[in-house]
Amino acid sequence: MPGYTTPVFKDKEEQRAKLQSTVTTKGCILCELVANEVQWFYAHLGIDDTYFRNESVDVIADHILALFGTKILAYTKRDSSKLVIDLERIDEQGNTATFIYTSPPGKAVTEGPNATVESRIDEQFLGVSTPERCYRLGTYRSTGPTSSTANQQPCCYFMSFCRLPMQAMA
Amino acid sequence: MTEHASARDAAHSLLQRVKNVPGYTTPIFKGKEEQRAKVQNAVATKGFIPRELVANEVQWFYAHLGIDDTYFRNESVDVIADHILALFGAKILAYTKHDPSKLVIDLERIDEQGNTATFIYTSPPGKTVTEGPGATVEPRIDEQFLDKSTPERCYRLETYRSTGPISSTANQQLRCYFLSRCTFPNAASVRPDGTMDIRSVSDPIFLEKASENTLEIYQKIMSAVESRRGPVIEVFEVEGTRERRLVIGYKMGGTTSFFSALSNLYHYYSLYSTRKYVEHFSNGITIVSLYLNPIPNSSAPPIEHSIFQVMKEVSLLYCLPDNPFFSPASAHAVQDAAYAYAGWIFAQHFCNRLGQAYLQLLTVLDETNPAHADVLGGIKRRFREETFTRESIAQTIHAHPELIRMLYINFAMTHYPQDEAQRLMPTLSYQRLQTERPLGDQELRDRIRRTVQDKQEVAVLEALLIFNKHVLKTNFYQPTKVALSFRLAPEFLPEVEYPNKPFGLFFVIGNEFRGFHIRFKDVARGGIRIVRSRNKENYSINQRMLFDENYALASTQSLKNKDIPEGGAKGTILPSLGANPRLCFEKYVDAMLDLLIPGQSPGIKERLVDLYGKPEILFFGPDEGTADMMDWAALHARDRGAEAWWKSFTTGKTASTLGGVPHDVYGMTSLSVRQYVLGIYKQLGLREKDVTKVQTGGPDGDLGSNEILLSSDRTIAVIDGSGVLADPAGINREELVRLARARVPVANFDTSKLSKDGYLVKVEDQDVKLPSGEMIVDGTDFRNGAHFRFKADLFVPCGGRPEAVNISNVSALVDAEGKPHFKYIVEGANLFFTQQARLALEKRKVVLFKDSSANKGGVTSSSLEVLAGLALTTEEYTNLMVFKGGKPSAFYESYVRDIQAKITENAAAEFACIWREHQRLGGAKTRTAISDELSQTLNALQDELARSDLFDDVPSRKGVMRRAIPQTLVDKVGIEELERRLPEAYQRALFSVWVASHFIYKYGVQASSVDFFHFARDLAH
Repeated sequence: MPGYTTPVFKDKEEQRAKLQSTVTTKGCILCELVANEVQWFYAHLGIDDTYFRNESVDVIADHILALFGTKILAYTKRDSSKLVIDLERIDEQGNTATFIYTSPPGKAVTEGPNATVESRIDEQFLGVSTPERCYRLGTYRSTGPTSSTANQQPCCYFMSFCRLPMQAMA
Repeated sequence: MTEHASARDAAHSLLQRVKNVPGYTTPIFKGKEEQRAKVQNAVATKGFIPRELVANEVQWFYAHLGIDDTYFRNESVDVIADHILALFGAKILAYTKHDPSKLVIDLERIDEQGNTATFIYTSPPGKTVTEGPGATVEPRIDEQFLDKSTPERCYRLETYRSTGPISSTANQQLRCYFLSRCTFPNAASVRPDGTMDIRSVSDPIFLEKASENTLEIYQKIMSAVESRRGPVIEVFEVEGTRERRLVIGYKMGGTTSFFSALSNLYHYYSLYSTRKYVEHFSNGITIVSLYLNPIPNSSAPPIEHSIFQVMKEVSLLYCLPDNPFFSPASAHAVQDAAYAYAGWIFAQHFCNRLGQAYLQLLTVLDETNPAHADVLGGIKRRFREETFTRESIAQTIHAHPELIRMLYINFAMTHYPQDEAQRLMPTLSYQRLQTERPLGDQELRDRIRRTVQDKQEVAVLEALLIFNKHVLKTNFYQPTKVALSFRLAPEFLPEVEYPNKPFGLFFVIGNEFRGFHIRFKDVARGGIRIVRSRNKENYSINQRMLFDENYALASTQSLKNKDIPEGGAKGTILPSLGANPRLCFEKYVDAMLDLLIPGQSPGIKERLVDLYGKPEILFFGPDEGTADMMDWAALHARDRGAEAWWKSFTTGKTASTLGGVPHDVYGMTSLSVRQYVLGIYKQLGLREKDVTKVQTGGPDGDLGSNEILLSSDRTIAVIDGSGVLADPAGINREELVRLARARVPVANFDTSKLSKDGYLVKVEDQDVKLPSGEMIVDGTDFRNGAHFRFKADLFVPCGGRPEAVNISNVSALVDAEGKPHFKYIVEGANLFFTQQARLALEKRKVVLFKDSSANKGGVTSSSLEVLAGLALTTEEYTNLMVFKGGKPSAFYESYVRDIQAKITENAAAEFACIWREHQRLGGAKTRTAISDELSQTLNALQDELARSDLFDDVPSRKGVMRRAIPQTLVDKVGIEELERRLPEAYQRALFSVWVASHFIYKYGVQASSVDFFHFARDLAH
C-alpha cells in the first residue's frame, strides 16, 4: 500500500473524449491512429490521475502529439531505445509544473533532456523553498511501458504550489 | 616551387578574385521526379502522416528545403522516406512546444560498409552550437572520418547550408554533410615542372563536380603543399559579393580535429559558411575550402578585414587544434588561446616551485652530507610534483581571462612583427592590440597582485610574465608553421635547481608533443631524443621530468664535448600517447628552423622580431628514437634554404647518400676506449694476451663488435641481450670475431668451440645445468645479474642498462676478502656505473676510467662530420663526401683516417694526463674526480680563451687552425678559404678548444701561467 492515496479523477472519461476530438482537429496524426494514441496515453502509460486532473485539454493534447512525434523519430532510427519522452509544462503563474520523462529504473540518466530534470526541479522549486513560497512534489514511476516495443518506463513529476494554513496550532 | 615564387603568389593572392559561381557544379539528378513519386508512396504506406499531408511534406522536402541533388542521388527511397518521417516527427514536437525555434532536425545515416555517410542538422548560421545533436556532428566527423585519413582510406566531405528555411514558420536553416569514401586512380602523373598533376590523383566524384577554375586553384595549392611543411592558405574574393573563399591545403595527417576547430574560428569572427569541402588526393594532400559570409547586422568587424585575421589564425589553429583554451565556451580568440596554451606548458615546467622555505632549508642543512641530501631531495621532489599541477595551472588560466589577455598583449607588443606590408594594411589583431592600452611590466605585475588573492595563482600568472620577458624569438606570428617555437633567454632558471646556466634554450609546442633544446655554448652539438611513454602514468612522469632530464643530458654532454669545438647540447621531444614519433620530430625540427633561418617570403615565412640579434646554428645528432631521422632533417634544412649549413645540421647521416661518417663502421667510439685499455697495459707493463676480460654488450652492437675486433686479450665472458657466453679458458676468438663481423649476438656462438668449462646460457633458456653443476632456473634472471658473477683483470662495459651498477649493488663486485672482481675498468657504455659506484670501486683500488673520458671518440667523429659540412660547399660536399657508385671517394677515406687519428691522439693525451695527475697526487684523488675536474677546467679555460683576444692574433690563429682542422680538409680547401667559410663563432670555439685541450693535456690541471706563456709562444709555429 502506498503511503498516499491517489484521488480518483471522475471526469477522466469525459476529458478523454474531448481530447480525441482536439487531437484530431490538430491534423498531425493520421485519423485512424488518433483514438488509439489517446487511449494508450490514458490507459496504458500508467500516468496517475493527478496529471489528468491538473492539466487542461490543450496541454494534454500537446503531450499526446509530442509523444507521437517522438515515436516517429524513434521509428526512423529503427531503435526503440531511442524513444525519449520529454514532456514538460510549467504554468505561467508558476503554480503547478509537470515533467514526464523516460527513465530506466535505478539508474542516473546522464544524457538527453531527462538527465537534468531532477537537478532542475531542485534548483527551481525545492532549493528555494520558504514557508511563504514552496512547492509540494509528487513523483512516481508509471506502471506501463511507453510502447509495445520499447521497454522504458516514464517517470512523472508533479509540482504544486503549497497553500499552507495561516495559523499553526501551537 | 621555391619559397620565393610561392611567396609572390601568396602576396598576389590577397587580391585574387573568383567569379560569383560555386567552385563546384552540382550534377543534376535526372531521376529525381520519379524518385519523388516513389518516396511519396513509401511515406504514405508507413502510415504515420495523415494522408492529406503526405504529398505536401514530400514536396516540401524535395523542393523547398534546398537539399542538393547529391543527396537524392546517393540515398535510397527508404532512407529518404525515413528522413521525411523524422522531419515530420520533429515538426510535431516543435509544434507542441509552441516554439518554432525548437524544431530540431537530426537526420543521419552511415552506411554499413562505411562508404558513405550523411548528416543533416538544423544549425543557426555563424554560431557554434553547444547543445543538441548538432553540437557534436563536426567533432564526430573529424574523429570518425577525417583525422585518420590516409590515401588508402579517406573520405571527401561536402557540406552546405540549405538555401530555404525549414518551414514556413521557422527560419532555421539546415546544414547537410555528405561524406563519401575516395577512390583514386592507380597511377599518378607528374607535370613538366615536377609537381603532381591534380587530375591524376583525384577522386572521380570530385573531378566530375569541380569547376575548371577550382581545379586550377587546387592544383596551385597542391604544388605549394608539396614543397612545404605547414599549411598553405589562400583567400579569394568573390566578385560582386562580400563572400570570401578560404582554401587551405596541408599534408594528410598533419593535424587532427582541424575541421571542427575551423568552424569555431570563423564563428568567432561572426562569419558563417555556406559551403565547405574537404578533398583528399592520393599523394597524401588534403585541401579544405570554406565559403564564408558575414552574419547580417552583426557588430563584428567587416569580413573584408576579418578574413585576413582568420587566415593568420588558421595556421595557429593548425598547430594546436585541440587547444583546451580555445573552445566555443571560452572568451579567448585563437591567438590569446594559443598564447594561454604555451603559457600553460611553460608554467608546468618553470613555475618557481621551491620558494623561500626551501632556500632557508638549504642553508640550514648540509648538502654534502648524504643523509641531509636525501631529505632535501625528497622535499624538492614533493615541492615540484605537488605545488603546481597541470590541472591547477589550467584552472588559474581559465579563471582569469582578462589578465591572460593583458599578458598576451604584453607579449604581442614585443613580438608582433611590424613590417611595411602591415603598416599599409594593419591586420585586425594588430588593431585590436592598439585599442587596448598595453600595460607595462610593472603595471601588469601590480594588476596581477591586486586582482588575484591566491598566492599560487599569482605565481602562475607571474610565470607567464616571466615567459614574456625571456622570449627572444618566436614563430608565433609566422603566417605558416607546424608547431610553435620559442627561443628563450635562460636567465629565469633558478640557480638552486639548475646550477650551470645554459647558453640557450628552445621550447617547442605542437599539438601532439612538446620539446626542448638546451645548449651550454653558442656552438654546441648533441643528440635529439624522443622520450617514449609506455602508459598514461609513465607519460605524466615524463611530462614532469622532461626539462630536468634534458638539462641533465645536456650537462653530461658538455663534459664529454670538452675537446671538440661544440659545447654540450641536447634536445628532447615528448610525444603524446599514441602520437606518431616521426611526425613529432619533423614538426620539432621545422618549428626550430623557423627560428634559425630568417624568413624572407612575405605571407609564408616573414622576418620575425629577433631580440637575440645574432645568427644561430644548432647541430643535431642521433639519439634514442631518432637515429633514422637525421637524413630527413638535413635534407629538410636544405629545402628550407639553409644553404650554408644543412650539411652540418645533423650528424649520423647515411654515408652513401649524405656523406655521414657512421661510428660503428669505423669503430670511432671503440677507438678511444681502446686507447685507455692500451694505456693501462703500457703503464703497467701488461701483455694483452695474458689479460682476462669481461665484456657486456655483445658482438651485435657498435661498441661490442668493435671491441672484439680491436682486442686480442683472453675474453672469459660476454654478456648481451641474447644471453651469457662464458669460458674460463678464454672464449674462442675466431668464432667471436665471426660473430662481430656478422653483427649478431652471442646466442649464435657455435658451442662446439667452447672448452669443457665453457657455456652459453640464452635468455629464453630455463633449468640449464652449468658445467660446474650449478642449476640456472631462468636465463633472463641469470643474464641480468651476470656482470656480478665473473672475475677478471679487465672489465669493459660496451652495453647494458644505465646504472646497472649503483651504490646499492656495487658491493656485489667485491668478494668476501674485500678484493674487487676486476682490477681495471674502462667504461665504453654510457652510465653503466653511477658516480657513487665508481668512487666506491676506486676506493678498492680499481683502476677505473669513466665513460665521458673513455668513450668520447664518437663525439669527436661527429664533430669532424660537422666540420666537413661547414667547410665544404654543397657542390664539393656532393662530390667528395657522398658515395659514387656505392664507393667512398679517396677524399672521404682519407678524411676518415684523419678522424681516427684525431680520436686516437685525443684519447691517448687525455689518458696520459689523468694518469700523470693521479700519480702526482699519489692516489689522493680518484681518477673519476680527476676526469670530471679535467672537463670542468677545460670548459672554463675555453670560455676564458673564447673571450680573450688571443684569437685575433693572426699568426697564432693560423697556426692553431692548421693543426686543429684535419689535414685532408686543409689540403683541399686551403686555410684562408676555410677561415672565410667557417662561421666566426665556430672558429673561435675551434680555436679555444684546441688551445685549451692541448695545453691542459700537456701541462696538466695544475699548469701555471708561465706554462701557458711557453705554450702560447709556440702556437704560431
